[in-house]
Amino acid sequence: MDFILQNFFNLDIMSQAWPMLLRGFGMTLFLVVVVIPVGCLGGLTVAIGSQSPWRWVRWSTIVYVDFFRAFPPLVLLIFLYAGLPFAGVDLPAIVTVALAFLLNTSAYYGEIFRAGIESVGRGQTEAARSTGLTAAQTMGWVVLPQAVRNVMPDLVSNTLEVAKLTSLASVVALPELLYSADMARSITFNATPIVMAAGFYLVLLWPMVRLLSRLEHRQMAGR
Amino acid sequence: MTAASAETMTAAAPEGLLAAESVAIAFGGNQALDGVSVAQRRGEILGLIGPNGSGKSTLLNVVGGLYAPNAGRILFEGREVQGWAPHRIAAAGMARTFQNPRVFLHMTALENMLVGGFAVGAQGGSHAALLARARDLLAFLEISRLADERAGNLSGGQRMLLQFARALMLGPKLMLLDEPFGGVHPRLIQRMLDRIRELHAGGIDFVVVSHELPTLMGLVDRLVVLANGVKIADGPPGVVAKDDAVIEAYLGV
Repeated sequence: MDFILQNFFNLDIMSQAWPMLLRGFGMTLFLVVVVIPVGCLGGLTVAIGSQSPWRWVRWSTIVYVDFFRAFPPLVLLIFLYAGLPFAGVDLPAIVTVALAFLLNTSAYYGEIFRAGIESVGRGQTEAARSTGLTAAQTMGWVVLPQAVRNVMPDLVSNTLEVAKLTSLASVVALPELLYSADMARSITFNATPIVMAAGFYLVLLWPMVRLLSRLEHRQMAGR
Repeated sequence: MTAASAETMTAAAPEGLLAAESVAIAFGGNQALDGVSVAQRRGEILGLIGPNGSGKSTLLNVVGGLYAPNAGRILFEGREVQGWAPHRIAAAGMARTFQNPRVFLHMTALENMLVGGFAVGAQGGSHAALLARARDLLAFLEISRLADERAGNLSGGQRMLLQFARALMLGPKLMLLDEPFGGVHPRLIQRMLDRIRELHAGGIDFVVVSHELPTLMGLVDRLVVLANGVKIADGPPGVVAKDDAVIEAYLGV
């Protein structure tokens, strides 16, 4: 018992590591608030492109989505960070992370938004157009509000995954939560900082998990 | 209501109001309309009947701009409008309703109305004026109490009235009504008929697609009959209803 407390819940280590983890947590929060809206916007663009009247736009979105859903995000990140410098493109860690997340998550968000858009009946679009709305107004006022409502649980679920995925940024030495915790571990020779990081993630994500549960229940009840 | 109808009063042009000339459209191998010509004069209520799949709704969709015809012309107030985007046709003064009432499910009844007024509002109506007009029209169709109800919660008949009111927000000169009496309580049918007559007296013309032949007989000035994408009769309702070809095609005897 003492062994477990000593190595995983060591109070001295906690107080030592606390400032470092707090900064790491701050960076993780920053990543979350940057990467998620950017991914959502990218996804929205992809989804709207998938409904384009022009075939080449529709096909491009299919290629894009297929490609980045098949491309492991960790490989993508390491390629951008460690691979591109060979081509003379040397991007800061934060930029490679933002770019990798934009490319990866907009494929997933895109598929979710597309499913939502297609769940809204064609009749709604026809009615909106016949009521004087342009194609863009129809998308913004009539189709998207209903589409987002229909896929809200999937959107929240994906957002949860993206938030967890920010820990990948540790591999490009971006000092977010996991990176800071691992640094603290290697300095202190103790696993307590990793346990602390898990605690931070739990505090950040648990409200989102609860929200997701409630949304899923509500959607089941709505059927 | 007079405000809405007064705006739509326009000087009668010498030419007709609406004309479809040799309109053809096919979906895959199915020739939905095969050279249909229909002309409507100003001041006329035109009835459009025919069996299921005869092309009535398709004709409305072509006229309203949802489909571009493969051949033929659509003239509205003397202007060629075939191939125009639907919102442009709506702005030009043609409004329509749908067989299965299509209200914006996530909005309240009042918000649905404001969408209908947007095209008009964009041309200079203030928000307050639009709101007043929306409430007037809801009252005109006796659904004021539903103003703040989510449209998704309305019954079929209520949705029918709402999409009719919403179409009126456009200040149309011509309304295309697709089965406005379908699956609607007889009392509502009477309300619709009364309103159509009032609006017509105020200067709005109508094309009415319906299966309810007796209802239509008392309303329209002229009856056009489609069967298998072809016009088989066109004339005063009393004459058309006695036409042998019509009886055969329409009643299926």
